[in-house]
Amino acid sequence: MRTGSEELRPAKRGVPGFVLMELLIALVLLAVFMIIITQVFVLATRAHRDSIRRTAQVSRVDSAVRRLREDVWGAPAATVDAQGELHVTRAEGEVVWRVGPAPAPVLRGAEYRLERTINGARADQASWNGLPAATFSVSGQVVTLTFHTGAAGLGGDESVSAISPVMLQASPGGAP
Amino acid sequence: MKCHARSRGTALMMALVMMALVGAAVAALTVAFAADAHRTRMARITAQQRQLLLAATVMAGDELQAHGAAPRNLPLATPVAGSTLTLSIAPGQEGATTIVTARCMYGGSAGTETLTYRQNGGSWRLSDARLRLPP
Repeated sequence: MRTGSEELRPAKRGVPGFVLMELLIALVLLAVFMIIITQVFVLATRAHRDSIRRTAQVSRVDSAVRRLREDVWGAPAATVDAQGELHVTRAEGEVVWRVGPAPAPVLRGAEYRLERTINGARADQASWNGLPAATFSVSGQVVTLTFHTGAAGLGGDESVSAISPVMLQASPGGAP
Repeated sequence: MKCHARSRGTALMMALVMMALVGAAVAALTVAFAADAHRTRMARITAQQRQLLLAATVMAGDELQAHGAAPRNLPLATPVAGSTLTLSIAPGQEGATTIVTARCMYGGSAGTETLTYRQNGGSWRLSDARLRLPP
């Protein structure tokens, strides 16, 4: 059994221990390790935040495309004017879709908003913020919305199309 | 002995913290993966339903031209496995209009479109179409 005086006795010469140089090297290695860990943590946090924003952006795109498809589905006519606005003729009036700058963009490459009005007035669920730049085009009975996702570093353009059975049946060679 | 016990306690705490971190990461990844899979599945289902309802629009026009606007329900054959498509023909609110409701079932969810046909001379012209797909 050891007494208290034995425990407090300093280490004997020749017993291996840490010298100053070893401690300094250990501290430097620890500092480098901490810097790397911090960088990785910051990157992971940023990636997680971006991922959440991108997921929300995808939901907004889904919602807008769904509404666009519903608008175009029953349209007897659809045109794109010189300002790039899409005019869809519906039984309840003229639906206009336009792309404009978003009020407070939070994500790179998502600085635009889609707006939808009926007869000049904003309807329910009328705008979708934080979207990439987009353009409308009409070819026959098909309305195409093209998102220019290059600025967001997500590759090239992405297009979604909406078809109108009413225009399809009214077109020459269309269904009766 | 005391030193060993303290060391085991620290190791146990570290192991628990690491397991909690890994568990949280796996749970977050699972939720994200499940949400993405659900979105992909619904996109595939609604795309197929739109195709079925577009075909139903053409068939409804053919049916009105061939057999008139008497109220009836018609099951339609589809080439898509696991899908059903029906047409319900009913007179419209206004005179000379007929409402055709097309319902399709695919992938466990239903899609509906309401077609308004207007009589124009001897033929029926599609004047309005309303699409309702699952969210």
